[in-house]
Amino acid sequence: MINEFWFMDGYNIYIWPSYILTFFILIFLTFRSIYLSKKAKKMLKKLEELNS
Amino acid sequence: MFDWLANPNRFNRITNKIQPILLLASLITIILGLYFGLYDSPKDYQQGHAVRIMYVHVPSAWLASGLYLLLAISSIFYIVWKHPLADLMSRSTAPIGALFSLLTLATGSLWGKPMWGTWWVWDARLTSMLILFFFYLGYILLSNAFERKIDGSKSAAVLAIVGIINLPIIKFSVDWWHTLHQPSSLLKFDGPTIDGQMLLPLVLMIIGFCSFASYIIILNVKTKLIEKKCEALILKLNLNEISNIR
Repeated sequence: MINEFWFMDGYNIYIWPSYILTFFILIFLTFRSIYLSKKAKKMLKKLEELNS
Repeated sequence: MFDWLANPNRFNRITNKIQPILLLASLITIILGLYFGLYDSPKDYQQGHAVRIMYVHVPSAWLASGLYLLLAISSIFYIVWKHPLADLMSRSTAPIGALFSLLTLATGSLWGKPMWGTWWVWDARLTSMLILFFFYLGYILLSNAFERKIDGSKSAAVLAIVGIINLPIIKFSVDWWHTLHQPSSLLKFDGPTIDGQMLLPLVLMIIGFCSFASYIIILNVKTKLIEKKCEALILKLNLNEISNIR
């Protein structure tokens, strides 16, 4: 049963890379956006401190 | 609507409420879509298990085209009404659209090899999708190519508007030309021709991908708004320094 799920009648070498690539892109987009957001917030805080 | 949202404070207030809903919706629908798509849906009578690539390929393709439409609309708003938020929206949308069009090409290639016997063919649908990717790249490069940001924004917005001609070509390429790519089975005047058991995971994944992209675009627009505030503060600090020296 599990073997059949992973093997997918021999199409596994096409199916799994498609899903891995998709989730790599989704995860990359999430982490990059969160990182840039945090970086910008930190920068704003620093500048506001300097300005006050 | 856009005019009303163009106020950054209002935009932040509204999106603060929408963002967690979008994130939750994308998580739930993608997890359910994965379960139904990989495990609980039948294999195709012709394509076998290879049909499961559809559950990531079609949502990516829809998103790549949909995001280009958003890019073009916000570019029109920027060119005509000069809304700064429209420019930020375009700049936040383009990289995400580019990645999803690249993903469409890659997953299409992985689907094409077992079905057509080739990774790539200069077919009308594939070629028009590649052109869409180039339009996205062109937008990103052009928007960052000028010393003055505003010059880049204007030129890139014009390119985005010109590129809208490619969207109907992508959609109708399978009807206008004889292509290897299969005709549309979801968006048809006489309803979808796809089996209900396959339609469910496909729709779930489309909703999941759209919610995810909306969440990321809003997050990126907010980041760009903060960066704008930073730029203004840096300018103010520099001016203060100059006046102190004088």
